[in-house]
Amino acid sequence: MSSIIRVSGLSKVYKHYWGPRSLLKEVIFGVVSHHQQIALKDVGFELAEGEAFGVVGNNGAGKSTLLKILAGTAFPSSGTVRVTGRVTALLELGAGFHPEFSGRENIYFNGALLGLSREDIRAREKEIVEFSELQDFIGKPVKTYSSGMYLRLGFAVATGFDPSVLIIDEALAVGDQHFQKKCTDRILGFRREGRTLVFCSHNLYQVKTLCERAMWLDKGVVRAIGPSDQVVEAYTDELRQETKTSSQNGNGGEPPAETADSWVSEAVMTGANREPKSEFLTGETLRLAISGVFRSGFRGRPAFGVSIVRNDGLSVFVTSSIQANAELTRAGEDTYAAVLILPELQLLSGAYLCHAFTTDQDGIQAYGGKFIRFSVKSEPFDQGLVKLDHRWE
Amino acid sequence: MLTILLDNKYLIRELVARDVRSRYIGSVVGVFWSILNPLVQLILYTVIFSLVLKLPFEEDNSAGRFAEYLFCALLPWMALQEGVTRSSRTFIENSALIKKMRFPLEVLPFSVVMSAFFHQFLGTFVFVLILMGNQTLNVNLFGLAFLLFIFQILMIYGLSLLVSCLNVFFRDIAQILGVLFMFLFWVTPIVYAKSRAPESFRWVLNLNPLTHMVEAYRFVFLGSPTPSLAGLAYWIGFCLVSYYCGIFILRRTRNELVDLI
Repeated sequence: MSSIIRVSGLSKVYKHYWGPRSLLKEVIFGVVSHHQQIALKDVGFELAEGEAFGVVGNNGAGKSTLLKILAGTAFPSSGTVRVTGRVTALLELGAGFHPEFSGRENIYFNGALLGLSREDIRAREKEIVEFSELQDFIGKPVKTYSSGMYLRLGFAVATGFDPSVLIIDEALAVGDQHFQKKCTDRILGFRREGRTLVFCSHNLYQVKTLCERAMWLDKGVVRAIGPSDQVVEAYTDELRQETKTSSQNGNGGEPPAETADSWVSEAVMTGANREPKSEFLTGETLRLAISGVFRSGFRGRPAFGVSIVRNDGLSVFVTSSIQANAELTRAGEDTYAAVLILPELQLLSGAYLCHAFTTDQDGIQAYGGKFIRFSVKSEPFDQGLVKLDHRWE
Repeated sequence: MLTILLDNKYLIRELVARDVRSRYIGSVVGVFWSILNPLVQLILYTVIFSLVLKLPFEEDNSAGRFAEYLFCALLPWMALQEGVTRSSRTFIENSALIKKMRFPLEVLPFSVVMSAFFHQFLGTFVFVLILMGNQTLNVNLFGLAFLLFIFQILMIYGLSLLVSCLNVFFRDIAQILGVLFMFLFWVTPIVYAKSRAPESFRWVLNLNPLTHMVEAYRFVFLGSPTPSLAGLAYWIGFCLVSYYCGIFILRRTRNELVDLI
């Protein structure tokens, strides 16, 4: 398969002039009178024919700019962009319609812009009108359309002229549920027909299911590019990290040995084969070997506690050896050890933080502990936090 | 450039037809306004300059002759003024198209220019009929008007491209144009004959390329005054320079232009 989109070294800089006067000053006297906003920096990728490519990232990451450049409505500041074949685009809610023209005239207008002959357009007109469900309004100027009608026509036109590349920016939430379903079906149909799709959405699930490959843009720079589930995961991990509150920071690390009566001296996370490990697959065995020091000042029965927190601060699971009524193994004079085993890890994809701590017989207070980061990968279609035991009947 | 316009001839036709139609939608006499408009101006100027101020054109000082001279100049002038002034806003007015799809920018000012020219053409057609009735038409040469049309369109299109691009960066351009055209109207011999202007003022008129355009139109329709070849060449040169200037400016500014609209 040949590459249908080739982008290399693409950068886009927007110049923001402080006002028309500074622009004039710059033009005439050559005094730099603007500040630059870098929207894209050295972006490069290639798409093969028939591939579906997702673009994810925060607002202002440059997604829309990239899609505009691919669609040909903006131009790169440097680098090359080559797109072969007929490209149609749905950019930022809506299509390019002349407000004074009727819906039908706009269909012809758009078709003409794509280089189609009148006959070609006429051949497709009926199907486009039908898809948009605007039969009664197609002769009216589009300025009289509601926003939903406008979007429906936009989607029908963008997908109705047999494009080889379809670029969609956040436009899948078109109209009511019935129409959304139609849009999704049509896009899936496009995929089956082997057309190329470039797709940008905040709906990460859509990106994951529709696209084979994805790119994560962060402040105009490519952070990751690859299989869409991996890229989306890397992106969601970071999103969680950002929203995580600082509540964790209070009880971290090892307490000073002089004042504490107990602390965890070592915690090692391993797989079933006891090799240290920090990346797990859902369903694998996770072993956490903990050893801790309990000084004579420690009252009661020595116990360990473990809590697992997702990286956005969500508490997933807390347990202790007391709850399980488990005895710690004495490993030295005041050293005790225990192994926590999670035989079939039910966690789904994500980055997690494991906190191993010492606790007293009430199992409530947590003393100085160790933190271990680990991550879990699961099947692409599994969504959520845990895989609940379930069956269908 | 030409191929871009040819590729989009359907688009241009639609835009022009739309533009012409939209201006008269809901009006009773419709497209006749494009003839009535210059006609009213013509009558007004003729009454004031010929009947009230008694300004003669050449040796014949009848009001009818004055009107004929005036009409030759007024029609291309109006096309120029309308085409350039309206082009200056065309990119901003059509931002919805430019931002949402790969749109050939060249097409927008061109369709404005052609819509302005359509009115000139219609007016000229009526004008030629009147001249035939008066038996004052320069029958041998008036076909050359088509040649003049071509150069005139090149000029208007070039200037339109220029102002439509610049107006995106400096929105003052549209305002400046109003003042500029007011000034240009009087330094172009439209309501008077160049030969009637005082010697000391004539260099200004000769410097103005539009003077030579007006004289060329008068010559092909009425047979006088005989234009100077140098002046004609100067005007044609100006047309070509305007055209290439416009294309050059569009090429240079296109990338940044779409970001600013």
